Amino acid sequence: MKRAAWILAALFGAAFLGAILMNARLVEQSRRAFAGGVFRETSRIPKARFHLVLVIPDDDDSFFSGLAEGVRAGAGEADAVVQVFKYSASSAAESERFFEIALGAGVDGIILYSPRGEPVLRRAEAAARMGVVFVPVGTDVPEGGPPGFIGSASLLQGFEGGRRICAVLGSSARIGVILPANGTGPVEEEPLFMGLSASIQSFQGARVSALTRARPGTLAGEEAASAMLGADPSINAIFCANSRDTMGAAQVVVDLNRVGDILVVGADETPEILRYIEKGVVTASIVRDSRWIGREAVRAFARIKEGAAPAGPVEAGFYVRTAEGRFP
Amino acid sequence: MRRAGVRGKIILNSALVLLIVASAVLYAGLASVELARSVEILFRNNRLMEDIRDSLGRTEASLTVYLSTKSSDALKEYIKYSTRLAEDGRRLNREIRADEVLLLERDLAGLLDSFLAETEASVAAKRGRDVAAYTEHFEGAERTLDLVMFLIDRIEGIFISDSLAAFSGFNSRVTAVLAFNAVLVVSATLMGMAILVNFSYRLTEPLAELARAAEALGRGDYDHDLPPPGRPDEIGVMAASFASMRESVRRAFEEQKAKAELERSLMEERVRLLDMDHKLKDAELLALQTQINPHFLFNTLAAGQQLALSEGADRTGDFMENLAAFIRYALKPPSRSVRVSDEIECVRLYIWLLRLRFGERYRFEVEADEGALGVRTPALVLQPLVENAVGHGLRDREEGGTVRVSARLEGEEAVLMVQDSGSGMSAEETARILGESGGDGDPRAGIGLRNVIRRVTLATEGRGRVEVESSAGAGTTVRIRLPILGDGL
Repeated sequence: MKRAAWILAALFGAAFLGAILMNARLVEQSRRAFAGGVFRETSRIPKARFHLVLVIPDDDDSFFSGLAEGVRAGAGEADAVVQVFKYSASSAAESERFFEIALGAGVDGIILYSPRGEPVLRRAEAAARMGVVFVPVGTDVPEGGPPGFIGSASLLQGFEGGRRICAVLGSSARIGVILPANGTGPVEEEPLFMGLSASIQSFQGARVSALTRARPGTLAGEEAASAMLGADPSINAIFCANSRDTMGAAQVVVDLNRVGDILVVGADETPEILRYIEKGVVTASIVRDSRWIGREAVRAFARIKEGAAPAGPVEAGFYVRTAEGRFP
Repeated sequence: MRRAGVRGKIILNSALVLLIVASAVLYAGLASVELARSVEILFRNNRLMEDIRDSLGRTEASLTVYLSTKSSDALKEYIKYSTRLAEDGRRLNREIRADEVLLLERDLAGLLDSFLAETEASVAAKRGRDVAAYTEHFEGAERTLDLVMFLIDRIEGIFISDSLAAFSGFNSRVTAVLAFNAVLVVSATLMGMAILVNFSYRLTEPLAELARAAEALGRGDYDHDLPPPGRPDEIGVMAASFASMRESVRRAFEEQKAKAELERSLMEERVRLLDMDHKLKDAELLALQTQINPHFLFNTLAAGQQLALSEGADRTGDFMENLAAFIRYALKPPSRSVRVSDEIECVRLYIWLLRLRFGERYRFEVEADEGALGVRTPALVLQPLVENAVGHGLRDREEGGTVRVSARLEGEEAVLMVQDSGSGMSAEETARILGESGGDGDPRAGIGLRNVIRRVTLATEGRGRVEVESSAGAGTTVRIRLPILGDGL
């Protein structure tokens, strides 16, 4: 009995010590979790020479994620850190607020997504007054042709899209066009649409049967494609301007069991779009190289920071992804 | 070494157990308090934002009052709060580092600088009475203030988000911490109980052993195990005392046993003496039965002596006188102690009577050392032996024979010897006469010799002895060996 009591005492003693150690460890972990979550060990965070601000819409379009990736990649080369401000795609005024914040904070450079209709020139002047390098990026060159703009040239994107559709459908092409949500102004004046219209003119009989601008939101492309096909069953081709709308339209075609009947030409490439291309749901995707745009924007910032004058507008160009591969 | 008493051990042990449990509870409490304090960390950054927000509000309010009234008090207030705001701004990060919050702080710091620059410019314009300028700067400050508030909200949102994430991690550990606290307290309690059980066994086991030893002692078992010696406490003292007591009881018992054994042997000796006495009485009775009223005979002999003297028969008178003297000696109790000289005198009388009867047929020789004459001896031990020598040893010898009676000293003994030159006895006859085996023959001869042997043995308490040496045709020698005891026999 004495021996058993000793063994029990030793066991409970070990449990006692173990519980204390575990308890102390957990308390310490909790404190560290608090400290780690609240206090930042500044010395461990890399320091940089320049403070860059990227202002883009809070959109799930892969163009913007690619743009941010490109800026970050370029920042590494330029010894800069990037602060990304995302504004609501439905509230363009927020981009102005972030622009002002960046200016007021005295950052080194601002890379701002600037769709058509935005006061890019005014902002460029304000930035210049504050000594802040301003690099507008986007799809189409804003009005006034601000210096240093880097874009994807949606006019060419539209042209290529029309060409791809008509190459398959010829004069029987009945095209439904879904324009991006973040555009402004009349849809007929969108460079994307204008490019597409220009390309199908070579094919007698081919026409744009429906033209709509998608609303902001993840399911907007699906919604627009569904409405379009419902309103005009003769549509045999859908052209989309961004990845979100491309995936939505492809999903509608699959849901309607009209794969092969309706030709989908989309934009950009995501794993989902690549899968649709492989399955033949999406015929082709015109990929805007937003990573290049972002990277080039940082390079432009670095050049200007070093004293060079802003260059003229630059268009990034694109390539086409099909089931056969990448072109050109 | 100072003795560690049972009371002290109980107090120490209880204190140890209480200490363990108390430390467990104390630690659990401290851990809980520490966790509660940790939560304060969550809101430190938010507190800084609140300070900035407060300073901003007060700076803007005092500036507004100053611009409206140009009050020196408002200006003082403005200076006070704008200074505090600048100090708050200096607490913010201003380095360019790849962290969202640090960059936001840097933005905020820059905006605060812009705000203060606008307010300073506004105050300066107010002093310069430049209405358009101070209005423009004030509006610029107001716009910057909106941006600052927006940033503060954003930063606070991130802080809250970070804090919630941290708190989530904390919260997931709180259950484990509380569980370990419970384990801690329970294990401490169980450990204390185990120690108490152990201690109680250590304390009570020697007592139980003592109790078992006491029970065993009650049953007469003196060898039952006791608690090992050397315990420096009361139990050790009790065990030692018990062992000592048990040894005393054991010794007392053994002494009692030895005494009882001695008493038993004494009782046996007493019984043996009583038996001998009884046999002596039997012998005396037998002697009485074999004698016809010896007192009457003695008196008659005394009357016969007087008659013989009166009639002039001197030889008959001598005969009567010697016979009466012999009978007087023989009638006294045979268990009495006499001197060897008395026995020799008795033998001489008896021999005178025998010569009267047998003439010169037998020759008698009596010799005694002077030193042996004073030795004490049972009465009537020589006469029966002389009677046996004549009546049995020499009876069948027509040519007669010699009987020698002697008394001498040999070392610490007096040796009385009766020796005859008669026909002697075989070993079987000797054994029969001594009563060592049954058989036919003259029983009287055996009775006389055995009577002598018993009385010598009885009178000397076994230290004296009678030796019979005889062989057929070589005569018989009987020696009585008596210890020299002076007058005490």
